[in-house]
Amino acid sequence: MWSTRELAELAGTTLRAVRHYHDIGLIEEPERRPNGYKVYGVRELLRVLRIKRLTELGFSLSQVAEMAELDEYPLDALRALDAELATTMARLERSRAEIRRLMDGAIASDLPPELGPAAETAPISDADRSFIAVMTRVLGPRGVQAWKDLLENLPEHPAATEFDALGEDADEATRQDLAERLVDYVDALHAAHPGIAYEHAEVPGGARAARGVAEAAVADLYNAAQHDVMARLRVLRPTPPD
Amino acid sequence: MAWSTKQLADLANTTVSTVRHYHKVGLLDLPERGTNGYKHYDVSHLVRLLQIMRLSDLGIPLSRISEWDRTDSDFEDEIDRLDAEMAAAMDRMARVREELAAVKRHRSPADLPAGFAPLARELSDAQRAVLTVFSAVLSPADLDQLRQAMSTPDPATDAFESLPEDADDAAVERVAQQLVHSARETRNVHPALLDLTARSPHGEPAAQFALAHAVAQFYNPAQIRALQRLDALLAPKDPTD
Repeated sequence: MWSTRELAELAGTTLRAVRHYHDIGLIEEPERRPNGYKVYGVRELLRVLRIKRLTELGFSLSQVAEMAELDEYPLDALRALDAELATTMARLERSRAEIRRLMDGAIASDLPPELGPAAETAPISDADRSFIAVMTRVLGPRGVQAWKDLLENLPEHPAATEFDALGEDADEATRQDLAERLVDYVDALHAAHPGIAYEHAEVPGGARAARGVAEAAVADLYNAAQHDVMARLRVLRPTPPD
Repeated sequence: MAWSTKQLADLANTTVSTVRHYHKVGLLDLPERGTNGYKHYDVSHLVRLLQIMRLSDLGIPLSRISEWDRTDSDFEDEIDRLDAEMAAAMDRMARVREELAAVKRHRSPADLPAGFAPLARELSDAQRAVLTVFSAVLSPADLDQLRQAMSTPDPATDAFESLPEDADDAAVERVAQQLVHSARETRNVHPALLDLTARSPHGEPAAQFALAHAVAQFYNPAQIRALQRLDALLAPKDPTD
């Protein structure tokens, strides 16, 4: 009655799909004309239409194959499909909202989304942004949360602004003075957000790996004068015993 | 300190082949090589890699990511299109969820054509089969007309569905007369039902051919005789008779 192409057209699907249903045994091989061409009837048309409808609802082809042998109503499968759709829709909605915020420049795409919109408005330098992006990879979820809290509550401080703008050729007196003025500020940040430090990393490799990454990031991102100020800060702020 | 490709991939929680792919499509700059000939990645590569992964997770095609920093209107158009596609996908999913809910609520067979779940309980196997063929050959508007018409209980349809194979001519005639009566009433409410196949996207002959074969396969000889009689009774009288 119908050729493979006619069957596919009538069922609103493609030749490829019909052939695939054959290959995986979802529809039986039809009769053949004396000339060898396949000839499909109502039975195959119904089968293809039903497969198409089930896959449109989200059933996989292997589920479709199993359904013929089911004795009970596939309630769990229907619920699972619905839950899957709900999850996908929520994910799409989040993506759309995020793309809109990215387009508006409300968030910078170089920082992980977990840091939230505060990451954009916080008064930090490009180097700091990159440093934070890297640290969120090695600290684990609590470390990310700590950075998020910090960014949401970051006070402006003249010494911090000076540090961001510190030229490579800053003289020693300037560097020492800046380090001294930064002590209280940095102490306060660590006291309020202990999770930001690599010592608290919760990922495979732990603090050791996190320290290596943090040092690499600092070396790449900050200039020699800034490195020197950090070294001086370490002297001024000895690590408290645990 | 510098990272190998494997270390970089681990830090970004991705695979070496992903990193290589980003190199290949020109999204991620190749790093310098150390004296031993191995690649040495630094923080700028990691930051860039994370950015690419993030945009890619959002559904932005790799081909457009290199232009992310640009703000020309082409790019904004592209993002608008992407957003519209996502919105359309969500609409489709919402519709499928409604259908799943209807199927679940009526415990109807999931493979019944969309929208017919509430009627499932009253349908015979033959009706389901013919309905499935209808769903393929009718235009969506006509299928909707059919759905509405079927929502009203019809004693003529019930009589037809239960007509036994060995029914005599009188019984067949009674059912045909009932169907004619019902068809004339339906004509006033759903005029489209009388020539459903005329507007088939597949063309009327193809649609009638498919339906005729479905009916022939699922209904017994007595029922088919009743349908033929119905056709004859409904056919416009030739005025020259």
